[in-house]
Parts: sequence; C-alpha cells; structure tokens
Amino acid sequence: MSPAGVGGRLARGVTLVASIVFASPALVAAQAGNAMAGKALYELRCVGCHGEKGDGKGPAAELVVPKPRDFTTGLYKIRTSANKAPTDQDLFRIITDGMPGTSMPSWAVLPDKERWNLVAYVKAFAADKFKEAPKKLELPKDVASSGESIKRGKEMFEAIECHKCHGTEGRGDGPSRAELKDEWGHPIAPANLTKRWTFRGGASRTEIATRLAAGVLGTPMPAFIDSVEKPEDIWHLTNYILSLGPDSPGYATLVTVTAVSDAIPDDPSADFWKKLTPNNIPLLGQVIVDPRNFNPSVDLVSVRAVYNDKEIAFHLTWDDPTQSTADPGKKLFADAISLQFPPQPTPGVERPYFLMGDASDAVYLLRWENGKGVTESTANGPTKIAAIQGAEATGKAVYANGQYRLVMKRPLVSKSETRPTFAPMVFMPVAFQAWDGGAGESGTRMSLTSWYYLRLEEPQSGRRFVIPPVVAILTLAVMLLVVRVANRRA
Amino acid sequence: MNLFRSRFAQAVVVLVIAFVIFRFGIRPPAPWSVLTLYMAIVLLAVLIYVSSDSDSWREFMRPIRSTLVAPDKRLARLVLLIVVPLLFGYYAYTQAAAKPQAPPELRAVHPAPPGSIQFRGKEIQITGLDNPLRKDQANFKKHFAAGAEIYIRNCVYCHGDNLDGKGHFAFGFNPPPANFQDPGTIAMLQEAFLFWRIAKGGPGLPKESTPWNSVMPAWEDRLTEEQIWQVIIYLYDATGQHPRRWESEH
Amino acid sequence: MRKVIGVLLAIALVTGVALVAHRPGPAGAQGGGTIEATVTYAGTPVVEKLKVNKDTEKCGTEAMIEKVVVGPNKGLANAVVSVPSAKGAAKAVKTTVDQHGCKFVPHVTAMTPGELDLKNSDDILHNIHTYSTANPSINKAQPKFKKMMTEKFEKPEFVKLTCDVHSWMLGWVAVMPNPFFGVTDAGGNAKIENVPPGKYAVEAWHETLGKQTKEVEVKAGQSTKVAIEMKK
Repeated sequence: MSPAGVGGRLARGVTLVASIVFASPALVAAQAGNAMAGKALYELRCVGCHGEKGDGKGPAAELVVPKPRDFTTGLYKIRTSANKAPTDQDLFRIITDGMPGTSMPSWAVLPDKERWNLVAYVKAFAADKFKEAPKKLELPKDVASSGESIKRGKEMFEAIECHKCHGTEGRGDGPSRAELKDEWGHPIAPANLTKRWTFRGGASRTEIATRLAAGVLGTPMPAFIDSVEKPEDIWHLTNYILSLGPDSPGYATLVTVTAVSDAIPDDPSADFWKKLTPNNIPLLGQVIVDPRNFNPSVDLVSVRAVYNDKEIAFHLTWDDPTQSTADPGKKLFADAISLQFPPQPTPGVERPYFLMGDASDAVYLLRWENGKGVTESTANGPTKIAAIQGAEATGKAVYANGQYRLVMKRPLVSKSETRPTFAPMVFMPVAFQAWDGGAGESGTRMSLTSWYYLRLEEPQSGRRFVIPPVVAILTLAVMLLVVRVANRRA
Repeated sequence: MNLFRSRFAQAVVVLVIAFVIFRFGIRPPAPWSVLTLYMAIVLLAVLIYVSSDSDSWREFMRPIRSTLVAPDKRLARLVLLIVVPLLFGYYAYTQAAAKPQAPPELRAVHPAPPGSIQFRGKEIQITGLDNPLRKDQANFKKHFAAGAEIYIRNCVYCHGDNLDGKGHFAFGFNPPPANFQDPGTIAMLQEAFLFWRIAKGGPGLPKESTPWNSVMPAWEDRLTEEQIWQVIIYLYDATGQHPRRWESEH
Repeated sequence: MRKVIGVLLAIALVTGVALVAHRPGPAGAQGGGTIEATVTYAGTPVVEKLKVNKDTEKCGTEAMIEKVVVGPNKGLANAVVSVPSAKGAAKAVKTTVDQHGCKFVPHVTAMTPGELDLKNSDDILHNIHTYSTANPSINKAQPKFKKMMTEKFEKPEFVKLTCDVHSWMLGWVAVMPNPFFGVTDAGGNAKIENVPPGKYAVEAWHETLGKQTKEVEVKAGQSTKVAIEMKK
C-alpha cells in the first residue's frame, strides 16, 4: 500500500496546488468561452453522465448518487452569487476541481481554454436562465477562529437547529435525514460535517461560509445570511464546523497493533481507546459480484488495535447515519462490519483472494452484526460463508450520534486451523468490509478494502533508549583507541 | 588558499559536490538507499585517487594525523570526540524509533498472456489475435459509442472519466487501476492482451501479478465478446493510443 | 373519524378567516357584481398521513398531507376561484402565511403581486422553500428566533411552499393578476365581490386537480352563482 498511497497523496497534493493556482479568481480572469467548440468536447467527455441534451440523463446517470446535474434548469448547487445564477467562475471552478464525494471528477487535465468553452456550452442549455446577471454575495467581515468564536458557533448551530439534518455532532444523522429530497425529487443526504474532504463545494473557510450564507440551490440546504442573529455568526458557524473534524482523513497504509501489559477494556467508550492513534482505512464499493454497490455508505473505518500476552482487541469507529437491525419487510438490514485475515499467516506474499477468498483459498472473518454480536466464520467467497464452531471472540458496540464504536476481542493464539494466530512483528494481511443496513446494504452490497497489512509492534521495551547510548559509548571508545594508536606511532 | 591545496580538503569538496548533485540534481529524487550506494562509489574513487602514490597519500593523511596527535589541535580533538559519538548515537535512535513500513508489493505489471483462454465455454486463441471490429470500419463510430457507454457504466469508478486511472474508487486500491493515458500501458500491448485482462480480470492473473489483491473484475461474467472488443476500441481511440501489433512471422 | 372532522372544521375556520382577511377592498369598479362560486369534486379525498419523528410537541405525532380535501356535498376546499380577464387594479394588501403546528396556514393563500409575510409561530426551525418559475425560487431558513420574514412575489403564478425540515409541510401561494379571486372554504364555496359587469370565464384552480373554467355573466349589483366541477 505504502508507495502507491504516498504517491497518490502526493499527486493529489500537486493537483490541489495546481487547482488552487488555476481556479483562484484572482489569478485566472474569466474568459468568454466558445460554446460551439465546447459542444464537441462536451459530447466526448460529459454526455456519459449529463446526457446529450444536458438533462443529466446520460447512460451512467442511473448508477451515480448524487445524480448528474441537469443543465436545462440552469440551477446550480455550488455558486458564490446571492441570486440563482452562478458566475462563470463558479462553473469553471467546478469543472476544474470536480465535486468531492460525487462522481464529478476534476477536469484540470483539460487546457483552461477548453474548460471555458465547456462553461459556455453548459450555460447554453438554459440560456434564458442566465439573462439575470449573478449578484455578488457579500459575506460579512471574516472572524478568525478562536475558542470564543467556536463556542458562539456552537450556540448558533443549536439555535438555528442545524442538527435537524446534520445531526447533533454533525455526522449527517439528523431526524429529517430520511425525508430530504432535492428539487429533482431524488433523496439527498445531508453533509457529514466531520468529513469536510467530502464537501461538494470545497472545504475552505470562504467556501463553507458561502454555502451557509447562500445555501445550496436545488437542495434542502437553505440560505442563512438573513437567518442568523448577527451577520458575523456565519463566520462563527464556519469556525465551529471547521472544529468538528480533521482537514483530511490521513489514511493509514499499515495497521499498527500496540502492545500493552494491562487488561484491555471491553467498553468502546473507555478513555483507554482515546489515547491510541487511529489507523484510518478508506472503504470503497464492491463492484465485482452482483449485486454491486456503486454508492457505498461506509467510506472510512478508524482502527485502533492493541494486544497483551493473552488477547488481541480491535476498536473500530465508523459513521453510519442510521442504527438498523434486520427488517426484511422494510428492506432494511443489520449494520455490520468485518475484519478479514488469512486462516494462517503465510510466509510468502501469497494470499487468498481479497474478496472473501475463493473456492481454493478460504479467509477467516471476524464479524460484528447489530443485534447478533460477534461471529467467526470461514469464507470461500462472498456468498459461501460458514460459521466456525465454538466462539472464541467477544465484542461490544455502542451507537451514538451517527457513529458506531465497537470493541472485538480474540485470544492471540488459536489452536484451530481455521483461525489465525497473531504473532508480534509479523506482517499479517488484513482487509475490511462494512454494511450500512439502513441504506439497504447486505451480502455483496457492501463497502470493502483490498488487502492491507497489520503488524503487532514489538512489546514495549526500552530498546530505543538503551541502544543509542551504547552506540555513542562504543564510538567514543573506538575513537579514543585510534587517537592512542596514532599518538604511540608518532 | 593553503586549505584548498590540501589533498584532504579537495577530497571533502569532491564528496560534497557529488552529494549535492545526487541529492538535488536528479529528478525525480533518488531514494536514500540509491544515494548511499552512489556516495560509497564516489568515496571509493576518491580514496583510490588520493592513495595513487605515497606522497599524495601522506599529504591526504597529514591533517587527519595532526588532528589526532598535534598538541595544538587538542581542542578540535576534544570536539570531535564529543560530537561524533553523539551523531552516531542520534542515528541509532532514529533507527530504533522508526515505525515499520508495510512491505512493498512487488508484482509483474504486464505478465505474459496465455496462448488461449476459455471465454464462456468457448476457446479463444489470444496469440496472434486482432480486434475483429477493426475490420468493420463502416461501423467504427457505432462501436466507439457503444464502448464509451460500456466504459462509463462499468469502468469509470476506478479508471476515471479521463481514462487516467483516477476514478473515485482508485485511491483506495493497491495495485492502482491502470492509467490508459500512460504510454506504458495499452500502447505497449496487443489488443488481445487487453481482451484477456478484461475477460479474466484480477482472478485470472498469474501468481507473479498478485491476483489476490487486484480488484479488476472478470468481465466475461457481464460483457459479451463484442462488448469487450468495443470497449477496447474506445480505450485506444479516446486516449489516442495505438495497439501494439503482433510481430509478423517470416 | 372524529379527529378528521375536527381538523376539517379547523381548516374551514382558518380558510374562512383567511378569506375574510384577504377579501380585496373596493378595488373593482363601483357597482360591480358578485360571483358566488361553488367548486365540487366527485372523487375521493386524498389525505396522506405520516408518523412524525421530531418536534412532536409542536407538530403532533401524526402529520397530514392534505392533497384533496372534500367537504359536505362534494365541496372542494383549497381551490382558487378567479376571474383572470376582469380589469381592475391590484391594491397592495399584506398577506400572511403562518407556519403553525408544522403546517402552512392557510394551506392556500391567494394574493395580488407584492409582499407576503411569512410568520413562524412554532418556535422551531422551518425553512421556506418555494418552487416557482416566474418568481425567483427561495430557500431561506427561518429559525425559531426569526418570527417574521417578508418575501416578494411579483409575477402571477401558483407557487408551491415546502419546508425541508418537515417534509410533510405543503402550502401554495396563488399570485393573481387582479384582485378578483377567492379561495374555497370547506364547503367548496368562494365569493368574489365588486367584479365589473361583463361576460367572463371563471377559473378554478386546484393544486392536484388542475384547472376548470366556466362562462358567467356578471351584472351590476347582482350576485351570480357558478358551479364548477373539478375532474381528475
């Protein structure tokens, strides 16, 4: 994972810098694009989703969530104007940067001029809607973040009841969530404010304040500029939202299992777990076996893992907007998560097929399911799962404010051939799968990872405090010897 | 400028220049392991040069020896005796405290294709096979459009709208999805190779290509023979690449 | 059943009050006639029910989406009866829609182009989300401390009002080109006064049943009855 991950992050960083340079209004003056030239490009690059007529009904539209923009309405979600019409710059920016958390990619690979041509062509689908010029949105004077500002932002967050949709802690799990529809009639999920790398219109201070002030057109998100107590509350709210989560998920490439000497708590809420650094793992849709899952619900699991001389424990944290148990009548399934290991660690790189093994090579699954608890099983593929007799694993989960926290424990050593034994300082393959039953996920409709590595770190020792002085003293001794020999010869 | 005439100073200058060139002159930057190897070669070369005759060697050794024995260099000697062990100690600390990295995934990117494959119970000869749709030039546009649609409904999640391997699922998978814009991928391969890869996916890879970790589905379950050839047409035409030809037999 | 009747009665009362409150002043020509319209619908009422999962102390535990409300004698409530071709200047009359008990009260508000006051009597967050084509669409939050907002509707149009926080909330604002209109009460009756004498097409509009028209002749100082039947 490591080289690809770092490379990917680097590449993203470069793209980000490039996009800031190219998209910043101060640096790129708006150009009048040529709609006719844009048409050819549109028909090559955009029709797949947005459709030939610009109505958002391309061949891929049915598979993507959120749905592709329907250009014929002239309605754009992300805009910096106070009225309905977006500025050309707004359209250019979205084409350039894409929309995080959606299927709209960045088109920064296209030359500036071609992107301006696309802006012109896209506008042409609803020319009459652009007769009214965009009015500049005046944001109140910026208020820098401070403890006081964040506190005021929290008060405002509660007073204007952001939690109705976004949830008490901002995870998009508010009570109105299930009812929300966009103006095209499609269900729409409120933003998870703790994951701002998925904000459609960007996660900078100004972008967040702009969305708050002007709303997100065509969606339930209303404009708040006239609906806060004082105009600067927009900035207090922005500062509060920024305090809800990290800038970026900081994905891990290796799951490190920390060695502890004491007993490991069963309670997922224990302070013990908060002190450990989480290993954040991205999960993606399973699109290999039918039914496929193109729009997975669980996109991240934070793994904290520890072991002592007897057992290994996994503390998993993931966001799920609805706590659900199986209810086949309502097409609801149980929320679940599983860890996958080879049944025995193999000395080489060879591993079972990442998607729950295959007919010839099985995997071991350590799974928790809401209402059912922890189970261990052997899988020879995603639909061939057999429970292992005699449970050795235990677990406890809590659900609060759109988030699960779970502790799963297992003895370190297993005598059974179907269960792996964990040994310190061995790179052990591990993969993850998750199901949001409330979103209709079950069976192969899941989010997953390919193989990662897990490593039990060496037992806590003073090695790194003992070795360096020894090295220093040895070096000194050798040097003194050299000086002595040289002096004797001289 | 006595200092620069001394053999020792010259050797130090050569080493410093070599280091600067290797460290900052190579794009993309060389990893530390490579750098260490290069520097070792340079050091060896410098030592061979200074020891080419005994005068040169004596001159090279003079400042070192004097630092070790001369009474007026006592202070320098003391400083070295303190600083050098500390540096070694610090290096040992960084090594002991370093977090381990996940082992690298070594894999053959373009393994040799099999001579033939079973496609939905039918044997297809891969060796020497060309895209049959290319003979049907009259319907090229139709095949291209069909390929585009197949691509956007199936492949775009990983391989990206721009065919550059940057689909929105791409970042989470290792090995990363193929970048068709890269001249090192489809431009180096015959169309039949692509047919094999698309039809058999990750599970159809040989062991040296880590089949257990590839998320590429086996598309024979979902696409017909013609559809696979259509999407291949799309891959080449949309990226402006040309397939490699089979070497003609003489 | 008793509950439904109670609710219907309440609606009748509210619409009645609204009608009185919205009756246009003597904007029409002096000595005009009166149109007494009765709108009927032979079909079944459509009232959807939804279990409420939030704000139950304000919204109750069950919300009703009143799409087609039919009273005694098949009278259709919440239909807008108007005389689009009558000539008469619109006089600015302040009109108010209240968000009360997680409902838009009245369900249908008719007004001449101008300002509409939006009141939030609920002490919880609502958002005014309009669906319109001629007027700019609005999606503005109205938190509990913002008791009153004023919005402009300058073009004649039937504007849908929704609240995304409470998805069952549904209301309509009928922006009419002239002051000759009325909204039917629970019995399906609406009265339009001071209509200049002449022959007109009287139009009845309903949010789900569409439009029907009927020719009438209005005579000075007289009341003309017109019965309009809405069809699906």
